[in-house]
Amino acid sequence: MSGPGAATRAAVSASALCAGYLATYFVSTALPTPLFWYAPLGRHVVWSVHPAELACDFYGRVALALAVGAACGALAWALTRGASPARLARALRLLGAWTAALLVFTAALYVYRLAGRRGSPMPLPPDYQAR
Amino acid sequence: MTPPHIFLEGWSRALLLLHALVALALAGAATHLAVVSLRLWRSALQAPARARLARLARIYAQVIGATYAAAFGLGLLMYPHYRYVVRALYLDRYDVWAANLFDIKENLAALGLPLAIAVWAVGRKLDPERDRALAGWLAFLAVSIWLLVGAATISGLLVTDVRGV
Repeated sequence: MSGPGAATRAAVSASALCAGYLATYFVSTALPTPLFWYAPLGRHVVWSVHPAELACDFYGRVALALAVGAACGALAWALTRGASPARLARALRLLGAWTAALLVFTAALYVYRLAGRRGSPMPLPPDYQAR
Repeated sequence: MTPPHIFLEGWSRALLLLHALVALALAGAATHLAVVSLRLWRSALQAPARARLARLARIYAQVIGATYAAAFGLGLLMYPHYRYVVRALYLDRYDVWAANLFDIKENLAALGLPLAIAVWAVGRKLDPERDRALAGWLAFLAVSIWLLVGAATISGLLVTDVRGV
């Protein structure tokens, strides 16, 4: 980064990364999306919308959101090549607003879905001792 | 029946302690950057004061980048043990609210990850005179990160009080 335009262009690209990441996180939660799930008991990875065994979607969802976010950031960097400072400032305001809205909606979606979730305990091993 | 072997289960207590220490440093840096970036954005400051605050913002942006990545990475390493031993065997049976609060916290932390990347990428090279137009954008990211880290820290303490490892 050397001039004011370069710094704003980097911020536009970073905002596009944020918006792409958050949009992917929101959509992949709201709609049935196949993801990589890690099954801690079998220690293997499953490609599924929702596997039947105990598994974690967290890794797959974060990896997918990071990949889409990085692609959005790279696209914004390419599209803003040679853009005027005024155009960059407009793009930064727009992407900042999208980032803020997606952040609020995705956080609210998770609070709504998880706050009242019922527990699904697994059978206790014979030697289990609750501390 | 042999108990299942979970990834890094023997390291869960050490990882939890390290995760908490890094999260503490992150919470401090996030608080400082929120205050500094709001002052840079809202205050009518002389050039030397702006330069001093911008130098602090560059430092905290780098600390946030490093500590967010470290805290998040440690959380990912601990998650398989948490998912089976802590949640599936204990919290889902005895304290469902804590299991739900933990998953809300983990996802809020994940939502802050791109914001931390953006702060690190742009904030570490902030120039107070050249980048005046970015002050509002940086303040928005810094305050958002502070809110997410604060919520995650308090939730983490509450859940660990119920069952940590």
